Amino acid sequence: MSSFPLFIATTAEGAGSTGSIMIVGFLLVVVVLALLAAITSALGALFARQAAREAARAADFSRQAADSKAQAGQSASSPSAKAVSLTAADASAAVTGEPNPEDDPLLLSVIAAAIHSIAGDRAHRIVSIRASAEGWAQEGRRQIFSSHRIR
Amino acid sequence: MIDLLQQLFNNTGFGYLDWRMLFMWGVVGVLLYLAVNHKFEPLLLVPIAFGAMLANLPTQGIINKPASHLRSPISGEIIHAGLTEGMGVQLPFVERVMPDTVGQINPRNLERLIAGEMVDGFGRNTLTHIIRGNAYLEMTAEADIEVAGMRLLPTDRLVWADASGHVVSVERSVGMAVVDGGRLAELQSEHTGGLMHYIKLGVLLELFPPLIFLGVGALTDFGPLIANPRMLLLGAAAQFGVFATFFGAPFLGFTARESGAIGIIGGADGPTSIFLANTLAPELLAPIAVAAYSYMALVPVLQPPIMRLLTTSKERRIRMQRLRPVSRLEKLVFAVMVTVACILLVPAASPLIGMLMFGNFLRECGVTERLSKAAQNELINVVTIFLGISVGITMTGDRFLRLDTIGIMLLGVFAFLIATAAGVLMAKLMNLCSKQKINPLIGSAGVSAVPMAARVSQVEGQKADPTNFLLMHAMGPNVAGVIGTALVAGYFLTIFTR
Repeated sequence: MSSFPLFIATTAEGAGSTGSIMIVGFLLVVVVLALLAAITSALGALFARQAAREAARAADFSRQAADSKAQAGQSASSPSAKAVSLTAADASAAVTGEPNPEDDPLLLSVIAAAIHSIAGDRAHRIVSIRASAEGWAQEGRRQIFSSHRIR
Repeated sequence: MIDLLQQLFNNTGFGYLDWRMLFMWGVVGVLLYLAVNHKFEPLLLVPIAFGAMLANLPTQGIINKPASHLRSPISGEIIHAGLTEGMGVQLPFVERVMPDTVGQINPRNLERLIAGEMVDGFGRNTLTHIIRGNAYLEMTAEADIEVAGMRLLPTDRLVWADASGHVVSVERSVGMAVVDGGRLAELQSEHTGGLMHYIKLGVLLELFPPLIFLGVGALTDFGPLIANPRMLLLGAAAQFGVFATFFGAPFLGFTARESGAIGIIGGADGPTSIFLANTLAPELLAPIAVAAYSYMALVPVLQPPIMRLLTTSKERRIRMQRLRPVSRLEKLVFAVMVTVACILLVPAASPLIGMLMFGNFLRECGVTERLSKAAQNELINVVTIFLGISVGITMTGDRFLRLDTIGIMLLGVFAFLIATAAGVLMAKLMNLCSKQKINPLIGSAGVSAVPMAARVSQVEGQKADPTNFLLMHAMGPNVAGVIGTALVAGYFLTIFTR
């Protein structure tokens, strides 16, 4: 294989001294790790830019939600529109972080923690919590089946 | 009845004890004391110490190899062949290092061995051949050691049986040429080899160090390094300790290959030290492994004086910028990128880098949790037991109690101190040309010793400023040191084993 290390090895053999093996070896390690640092920095810059874009999008979304809440508040003053605006007001309350009085705060905390453990540090906001029919039983069955190899 | 008692006593192991074994019991005691009482790297030192204890007892059926083909260690001409078909070969009960050449053995003992007599410590019929290397064939006229009617050169190579059994075929006789690795004879035995022989194959075949790296990769979070890639340079700088020791070791009489194996102690990475020593200097494996793990355990003692000596109080109080969060995808890309780049540049580092990054990929990908947990727990624990005891079993008295061992211990501490200093100085150098200041204390974490070296940086930093937290920052150079040491090992392998 005509690769870089072989070239170095040949060089070291030519020089034939411990000193040259030492210098070439140390420079090789510094150059390789510097190269990795440069590539990692470049990748990091790309990922940081993408993260900034996502944060900006989340901020826009939050702003729109706040606007829609304000509009819902104005419409609610009209008795005829009260029923229609109820759902929108609930949604916006969730979006802006105001809890629905009917929700159990302890349950909300548990669900928020569970979502955080899955989503990690990615920006996220819980906008809707609904009961699921047989999800837990299904998930349990899926895990049991997937833990066994079919022979 | 007295005869029976006499026979019973003769069958005990007391007759095989010598002062070296007793001295090694003391070494074992010290290692166990450090591991158990002071918790110095107990996961490795306990298996190593116990293995060393077994190595220095007259054990039976635990270390022995199975009988098989006997092969020539060099290319040359056979000048003595002592085996005949049906002959019994009995190795000594206590494993010992046999002399390699005629010049290294007492001529009287050599004469008795050639005559097939039982010589203390050499077993029965264990000297099978004497071979003159091709390079010395023209010097036959200068042969001046006369033994059993043969004129020998001090450089003539002695070939020893490596297992007990009986000879079933002799494939080369006196006067015949033989090549390096060529078959000389075949031995047969009903015994199939001891447990330790098979466990030790994991080291000889270089299986254990990469498997340890798999577990280390699964345990390591590369996030701090990815968030601040400049830390890779600190990991690179610390490798200077390895190369400085490599440069200095020949002055103590070590060969270049041995110097490389000794120098890697400065990388503070036990599996890498074993990996390299096994290839470059297998006879020095035991002292190198013990030195590497002992100094890793002594990181909190060895590093702080150097760190304080090379930094000012103001530098030790430097607060570093908070690290940005690193996404899962970024960690996965990093693992793949490091694997590809390192293996392309230094192919000999593949076993270590490949497994390290594979383990890390298992950890970060999020869909192989069971495999990741297995690598982090069961696998690494089992391999650690096997690796430790395999190293310990090589610590026989006559292999360990040599001047070389003292030299290796001295060079090991030198390597550690230079590596620490180089990391700290590199951090200071980077501060000269960067706006974002680095606390130079984290430079010392460029030696691997994960995570103890990072913890030392944290402790020293808090002594200067109790509200300064350096641990996560120090993890960057710490894991960079692991990659750096693996690259150095690959470099030495490339240079010396082509």
